Amino acid sequence: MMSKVLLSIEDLKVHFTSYEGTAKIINGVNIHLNEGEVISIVGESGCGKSVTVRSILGLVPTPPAKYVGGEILFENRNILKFTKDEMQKMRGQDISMIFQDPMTALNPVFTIGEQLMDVYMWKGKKRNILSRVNKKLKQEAYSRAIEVLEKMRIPDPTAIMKRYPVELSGGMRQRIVIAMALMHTPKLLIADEPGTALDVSVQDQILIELKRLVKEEGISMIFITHNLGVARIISDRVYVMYAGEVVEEGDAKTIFEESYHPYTNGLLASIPKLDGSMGDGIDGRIPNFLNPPVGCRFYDRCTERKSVCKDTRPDLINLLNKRKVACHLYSEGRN
Amino acid sequence: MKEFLIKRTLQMIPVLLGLSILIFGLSRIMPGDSIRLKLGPEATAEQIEAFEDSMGLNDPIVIQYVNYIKGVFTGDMGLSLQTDRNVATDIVETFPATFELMLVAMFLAILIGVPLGVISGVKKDKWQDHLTRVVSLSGIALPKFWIAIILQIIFAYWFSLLPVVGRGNIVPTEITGLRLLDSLLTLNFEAFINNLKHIILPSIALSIATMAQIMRLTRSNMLDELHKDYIVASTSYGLPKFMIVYKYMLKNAFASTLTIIGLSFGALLGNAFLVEAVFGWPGMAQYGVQAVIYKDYNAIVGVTLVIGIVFAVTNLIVDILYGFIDPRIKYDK
Ligand SMILES: Nc1ncnc2c1ncn2[C@@H]1O[C@H](COP(=O)(O)OP(=O)(O)OP(=O)(O)O)[C@@H](O)[C@H]1O
Ligand code: SF4
Ligand SMILES: [Mg+2]
Repeated sequence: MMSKVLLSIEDLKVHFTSYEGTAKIINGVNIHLNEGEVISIVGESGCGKSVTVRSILGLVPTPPAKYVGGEILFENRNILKFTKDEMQKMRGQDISMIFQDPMTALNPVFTIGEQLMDVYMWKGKKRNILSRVNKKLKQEAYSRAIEVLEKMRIPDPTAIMKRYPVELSGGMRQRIVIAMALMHTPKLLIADEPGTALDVSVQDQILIELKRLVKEEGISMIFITHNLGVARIISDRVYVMYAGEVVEEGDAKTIFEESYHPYTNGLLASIPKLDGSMGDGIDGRIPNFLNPPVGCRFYDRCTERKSVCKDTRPDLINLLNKRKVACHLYSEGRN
Repeated sequence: MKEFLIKRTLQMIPVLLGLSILIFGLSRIMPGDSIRLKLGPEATAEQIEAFEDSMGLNDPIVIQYVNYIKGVFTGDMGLSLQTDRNVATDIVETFPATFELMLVAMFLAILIGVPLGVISGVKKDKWQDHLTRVVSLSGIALPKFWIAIILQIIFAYWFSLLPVVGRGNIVPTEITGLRLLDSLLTLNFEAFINNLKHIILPSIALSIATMAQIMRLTRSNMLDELHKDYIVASTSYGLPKFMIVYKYMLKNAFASTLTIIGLSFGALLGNAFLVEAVFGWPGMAQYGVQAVIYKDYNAIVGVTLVIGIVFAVTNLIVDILYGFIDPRIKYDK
């Protein structure tokens, strides 16, 4: 079974410049996504998940960011080379994004309806002070907004359209934030830790709906989360990131049963156990990006390190069974 | 909303009462002998006494105050020593001129200050930003009267484009006392042009400081908006940049600018007297300054009360507008 590759991030390198120096944040990331597939990216805070996925939509401000290497191919076109117009056409239409915090992702001074309808009517278009929309487009926008709200199982959508964000609960707002991203049924949906600000039961409900929706509409999705349990339920494949690099990649079902990279092992061990005891965390912190280790970026914290790890960066190699690992403990095709 | 209006209007009463007591008291204990000044060096002690009696100045101050307030409700704000007329008459005559000047100045300040602030915020650290910041800093730093005189020299003397002084010589039928408005209401376009020409320079001179302030505030509010989640989100939905800046960012940024607009409307009154002096503008600010210099009791109190009312009403209007712009503000408090 060969499915078509929709997106592939190839050897992406992103640096951030500040007065302190150059932070080499994203250091050769490789991620790909097939049509109709859902992948997760997991990894601790600050490892570069958001920078990676925001790069896909050109949302990382340059400066301070600088794209020093690699490509992001969407349907075989390099997004990093897009003109402003091409970028605006692609956003919302081909690829769109769900923002993490429903409390801040909606504009507080416009009604839900106005925000949804604007996305329908104005996406990818030019606008100046004289631009007007005709009645027909407006009606279309209105019915599409209602339709999407209904898809998100929002009760009484006509009333919600007239509400301001401040008048709605967090869960409701998160559904609307998702609706915004779905207005044009994108081919790729990026969800950067949606709902982590909400309480767990609401969050679960929303995730279930999200998963149902992307499958129904045939949308591919990149899902970012801290929560390994969520990653396992929602996705087909998982990428584990550490300090701006992908350290392990594999099937969602198997990766959590048998992980190879010492960092992934540590992550799994740090999950609280069913018997209530806290898991063992990984000692130490993410390395300094201004002066990262030349070899394996996990070297300082790794309990299984070898002398070769200090100076030689491990490549991401294929193990058996669709699994890839970047670690000197393993060699190509083995295990 | 209705309740809010009533409540806020009622709240203005104690404020204005307090203001009137304060200013009334102050005017009576101010040093200087204006009655002698008015009656001239030949006046006898009896004449002065008689005049003071006629104005009630020898009554206990509480009685004086009560009489004054009673008078105000019948349109009698006491005699002005400068003009020998009812202060109310003087105010009705001079206030519209000042008010019109302030309105036009504020209109210009917003019309120019807001877009400049937006541009310099969006083009941060580009030449547009540097230019507007230099201009606004000068606007705040340079003395108003100096700006006024420079404007006169350039536009009136050198290029003879606009009149040097005065409020215009074609007077439209009076409805509101605001001549631009009156001439539009009566379709008297000749008067409109004439009065417009006269008001341009003084209103520019008056508006510059406020314009600069509005610009700086809008700029910093826009910069705050730039990195808000919902703005990054709008970008990710593929909305046009123009729309994001002038609709989604500006409405948020303007909400905070609005508060300053209410406060600077009061400051405009303070600056107005300088501008009125330079441009020979027959307004209330000049009248008020004269009143202070001559210790014209009733005029001082009258002018201060009017200023207080203008200030209170503007801030009420600003609060109402704020509620329209930002739904997070509720009127029920
Ligand atoms: N605009 C920026 N300027 C400078 N540094 C930045 C910027 N955006 C991100 N970074 C840096 O890039 C690194 C990765 O950040 P990123 O937001 O991608 O982490 P993350 O994996 O999404 O973390 P979290 O789980 O907390 O969301 C961090 O060290 C952060 O400080
Ligand atoms: S490469 Fe070496 S240091 Fe890095 S994770 Fe593997 S064993 Fe540890
Ligand atoms: Mg993040």
